[in-house]
Amino acid sequence: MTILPRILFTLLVFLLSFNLKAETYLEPEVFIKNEFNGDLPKSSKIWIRGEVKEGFKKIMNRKGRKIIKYWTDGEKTVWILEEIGKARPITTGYVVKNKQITKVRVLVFRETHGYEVRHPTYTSQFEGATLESMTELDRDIDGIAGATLSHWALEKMAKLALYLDSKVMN
Amino acid sequence: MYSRLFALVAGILFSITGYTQTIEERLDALEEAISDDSEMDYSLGSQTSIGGYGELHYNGGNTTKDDQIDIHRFVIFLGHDYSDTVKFFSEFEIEHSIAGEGQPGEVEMEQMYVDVDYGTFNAKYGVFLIPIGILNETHEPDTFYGVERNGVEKNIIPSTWWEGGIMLSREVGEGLNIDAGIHSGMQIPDSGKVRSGRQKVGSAVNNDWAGTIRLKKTTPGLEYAFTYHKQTDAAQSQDDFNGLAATLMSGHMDYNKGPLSIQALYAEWDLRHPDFDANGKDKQNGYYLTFGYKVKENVGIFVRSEMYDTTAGDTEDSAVNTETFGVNYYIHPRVVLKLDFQNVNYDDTSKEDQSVFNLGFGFSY
Repeated sequence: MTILPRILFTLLVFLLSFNLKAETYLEPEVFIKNEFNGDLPKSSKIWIRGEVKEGFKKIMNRKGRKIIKYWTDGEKTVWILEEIGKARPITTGYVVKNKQITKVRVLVFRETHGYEVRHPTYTSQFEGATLESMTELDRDIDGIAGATLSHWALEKMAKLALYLDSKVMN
Repeated sequence: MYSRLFALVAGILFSITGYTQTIEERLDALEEAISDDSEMDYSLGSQTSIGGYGELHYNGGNTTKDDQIDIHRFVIFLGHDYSDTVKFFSEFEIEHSIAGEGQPGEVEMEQMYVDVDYGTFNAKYGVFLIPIGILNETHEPDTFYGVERNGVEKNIIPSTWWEGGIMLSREVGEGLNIDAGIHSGMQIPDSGKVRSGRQKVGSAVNNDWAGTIRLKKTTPGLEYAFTYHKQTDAAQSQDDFNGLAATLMSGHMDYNKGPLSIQALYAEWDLRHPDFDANGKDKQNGYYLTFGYKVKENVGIFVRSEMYDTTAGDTEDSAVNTETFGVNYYIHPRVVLKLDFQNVNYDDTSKEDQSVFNLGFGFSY
């Protein structure tokens, strides 16, 4: 297949004509503003210590930050969370209202595989989800073939958003 | 006197208020610093990542071989992000524990590529896994049922199969992906054994390149894909054996909803060469169907039926049929103990059927 090296070279030249672009689907700040009619409210903070720290470890199976920010108007909370899928952190926005998830949006995806978890057909499965127990959602979320670790990361962050919301909205 | 006292009290109050504001401001600043988005708390900030997997197998039962225990694989992933758009990934593997002259194992470099995100598509440059089948790209032991990988994705699709070249990937619709690449080719020997044709990019003869294209559709819980692979001369234009036009086609469906999982795959080689036309090796094909069910969150049972035939081009009965059933027990979502039983039946009556018993331990991280 002697023509292939020539195709290969042409392909390389073609590729070099493209500019590199980041994988940010939506800036976190824009996600927050969209939830508050275009305004960016001052962030609130929850300290991850004591009972909350234990809850965090049970859900995420790791240690976390000392403080996590969230944004609220008194009715709903907005969380920008990060968790590693296979190797790199996935930045995801969660909106919780009345102890239910109302929106999930993958904001920045850094893994080389599994980016299909950003699609609404996947993220919409979380809408209406509540916590059955600290580590269980009230429903099964179907994963994406070849993206199991990204799927698990989004599930864990959903549980964390619901758990932290229950702590700050009491 | 009173005016002095008033001035003193006012001064103290003013100082206290000012001091309090300073503390609040400082606390705010401290909280901001601690919760700063850019300050990652564990290894998130690191640009270099490590991972891997491994599996230990025991194979026994009524077979022609001795019972055996084997560290089948130990794999280390190493990745490095040069930037958000340029990422290196590698997979280094030791098979069968001991590598070297006269030893059962080998050391392999299964992946070594740079993935570049061009926004509208990605490109892999280097050594990568061929996008085909269910197991070739995703084969950590905790991701599939059964101790051993199925025979179809071993003898027809020669997993794990990697080559060197360029692979482009583009999402053309929601969950609809195309991968297309030009890469090094196989050197299938005159025995017609496809698996032996993998050169593993180790001083590989490459007089003849190959190309692969895959169309894949994924939705939550469901994936189906079709791959077409072509090499003009899969014998690599050698003096004693050449002119082997090779085409491989494969399609699969992977369903995972709730506790139920179903995988179905078909693959077929078309190997055009006069020698192979004569001995039936011009057609090599196989299929399998797996049903899995999680009876508990950490326990799954499965049954698999598979068939492959490496001399399907003739009229002689030569297929290998395997029925497998067993259980996966997850100690942790990424640590699994496996047990299965296999009945291997040969259509070729000169071969003795086998009953195999497998135990396995696998993990990934």
